Amino acid sequence: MIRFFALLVIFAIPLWASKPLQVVTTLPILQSIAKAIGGADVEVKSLGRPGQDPHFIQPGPDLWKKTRKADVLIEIGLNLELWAQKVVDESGNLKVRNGQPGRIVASAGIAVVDVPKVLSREFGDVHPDGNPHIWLDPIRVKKIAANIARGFSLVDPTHRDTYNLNLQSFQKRIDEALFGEQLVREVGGEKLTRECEAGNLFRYLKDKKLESKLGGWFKKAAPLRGQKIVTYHKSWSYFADRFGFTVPTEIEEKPGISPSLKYRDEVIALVKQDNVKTLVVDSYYDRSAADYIAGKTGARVIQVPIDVGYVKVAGDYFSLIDYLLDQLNGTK
Amino acid sequence: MKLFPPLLIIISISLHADQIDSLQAQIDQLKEQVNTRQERASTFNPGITVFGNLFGCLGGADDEVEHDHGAEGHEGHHHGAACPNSLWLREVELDFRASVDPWADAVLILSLEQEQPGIFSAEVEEGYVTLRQLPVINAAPLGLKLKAGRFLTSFGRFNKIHLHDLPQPTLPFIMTAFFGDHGLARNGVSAQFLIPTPGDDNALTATIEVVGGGGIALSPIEDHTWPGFLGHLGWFFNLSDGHDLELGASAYVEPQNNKPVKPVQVYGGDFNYKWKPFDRGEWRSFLFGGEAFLANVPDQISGNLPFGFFAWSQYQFNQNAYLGLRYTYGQNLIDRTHYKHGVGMFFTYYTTEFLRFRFGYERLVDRVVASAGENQVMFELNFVFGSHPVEPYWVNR
Ligand SMILES: [Zn+2]
Repeated sequence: MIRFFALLVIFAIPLWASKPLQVVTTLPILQSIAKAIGGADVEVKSLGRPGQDPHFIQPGPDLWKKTRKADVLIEIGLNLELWAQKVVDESGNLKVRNGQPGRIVASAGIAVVDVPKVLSREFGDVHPDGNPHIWLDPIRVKKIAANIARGFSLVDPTHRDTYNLNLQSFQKRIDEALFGEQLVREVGGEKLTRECEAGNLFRYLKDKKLESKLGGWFKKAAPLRGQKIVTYHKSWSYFADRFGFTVPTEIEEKPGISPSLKYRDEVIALVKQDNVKTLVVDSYYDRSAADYIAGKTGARVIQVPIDVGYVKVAGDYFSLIDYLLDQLNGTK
Repeated sequence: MKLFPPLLIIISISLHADQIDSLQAQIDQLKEQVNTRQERASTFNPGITVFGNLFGCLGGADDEVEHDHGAEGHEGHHHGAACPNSLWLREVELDFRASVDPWADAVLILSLEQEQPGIFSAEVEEGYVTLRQLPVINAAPLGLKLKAGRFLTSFGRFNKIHLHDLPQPTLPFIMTAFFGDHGLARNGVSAQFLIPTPGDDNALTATIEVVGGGGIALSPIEDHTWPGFLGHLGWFFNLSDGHDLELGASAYVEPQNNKPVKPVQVYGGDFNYKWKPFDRGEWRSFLFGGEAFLANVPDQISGNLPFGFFAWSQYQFNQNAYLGLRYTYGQNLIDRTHYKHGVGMFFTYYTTEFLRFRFGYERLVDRVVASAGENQVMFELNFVFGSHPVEPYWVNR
């Protein structure tokens, strides 16, 4: 009898150990990063589907069911996915409740912008903890990946080494994609990241006479530097900061509120005055106001997803940023 | 000597840059502290949401035909015909919710109502605790959520929606006729499960409730001896991106103490189809749904099973405007050959999810008394403030 149980245990352990960590993410972008960090040791599903507005996903029973058996739930946080709380409550899954190790808040400890000075709905459906659209900044995405790796290691310590290795290679891939392989080889990704975060990258490269060696997304984004681009929603703040263009205004009048005729005219005046050439509308917003403004000013409208999987060429984080830069440059 | 000023400038610039860096780091740190502090301050306060609902109606019967034949139940529940031709604050609702301890969450919804101008009532619309894990075993088998207290029972879909969340200004008359003015709200316990089914794009939920009996509109007998037993099955299908279908079945049974009297029984079916595309998802949507009810009235001769249903639809034109339709049919509780039916049309304009204007018109015709009709023009203004309200997932906004 004892031998039978011993056998059972011996067979059960590898079975139990080989079952991949069950992960759900709120958005496809987090699914893509979680796959990169977890590799074969995790199985990742996204609650939100490619092309869905991340602010307004219906917390319906299909999502309760997907969340029911999850070991880990990853969200951006910062009040972006208000619907996720309802999903977790209804799923009855205790492991992924707020504050549990199974709940990974990808934005934890990441510096945010656009924190409202006054919290009032007078200013629209504002994000009270600051702008949650942090994932379009590759530097911040490295931290998102680190948060995910830390979370995975906490829940599944046996694969800690794998998660950390995967994290390192993901971060290195980001560095190379962002700065170019040559520059990363000569200076190191960490140093470049530090200069970048301090807003010193270009001065540093100039001082060290390394400007010509800058490659990757920064090189690709060179035509955008100093430009003014108008976006529909404040989803581009981090991308703009990183790649050196400014967003003088948004097309929506206030967060979640489409422009009135009067406000639309103000945007037209500003677009003319600032010589704005490009208007950017996220795929899930209505583009008619942007088209109208374009018609009056000669600016061009691009409508693009800011998450992966919606267009074929932007299947993961790297191809997404490539795709967005191509679109903004008007090269594709 | 001439070398000095440029050197100084260089030194001061580099110092400046360093200082900016360290200042930036300090600012980030402070920001984080402020954020956590704000969270801390509110942790133990419940989330509070306030709903205000202003309602107005103008209406009357064709040729002022008097009909007091209890067409809408034994108590003669008024709807439509009793429109007081005025505008008043119909309801103010206070919604409190918070975690109680590691096992439970609590919800308390207080409502101050004016059914008719000048007639006030205060009531606990809902007040319950939800156990999110069973004590002792500290687990939630099948995603069990156990609710105890007073709540809107899970009979169909509309019954669970609060007045301010309805896609229409009033409940369909068939619901007030069968259940009462506020639908079927009861004290009791409720257990909800997620039943495992194959596939990712569907979900089966089951709800079982045991609630206090008596006081249901379709039963004239105030018998509180037996509790009422309620069951609901809901099957949700995600047909494809942006297309959802939900089917449901409900049953409510309440045994009666007086033996020859049959138990109160109500059976229901519900369905809801929703189209909400991903492109411009907040600008367009289409809903089509309905609920049917079949009841057994205890004190009636056997064989009288009054039936009623409503079907409704709503189309969204842009970020703000919605047009809705509903058709309601209901047989008289005493005499099935006598029925009432009619069509309503509703136009809704949201400035944001927090403020809504709604205009409606409904015409109901009574098929016995020489086809007497009632017309009602309605206006509704709904406002919401406080913590972010919990939105029912099946209705837009
Ligand atoms: Zn946003």
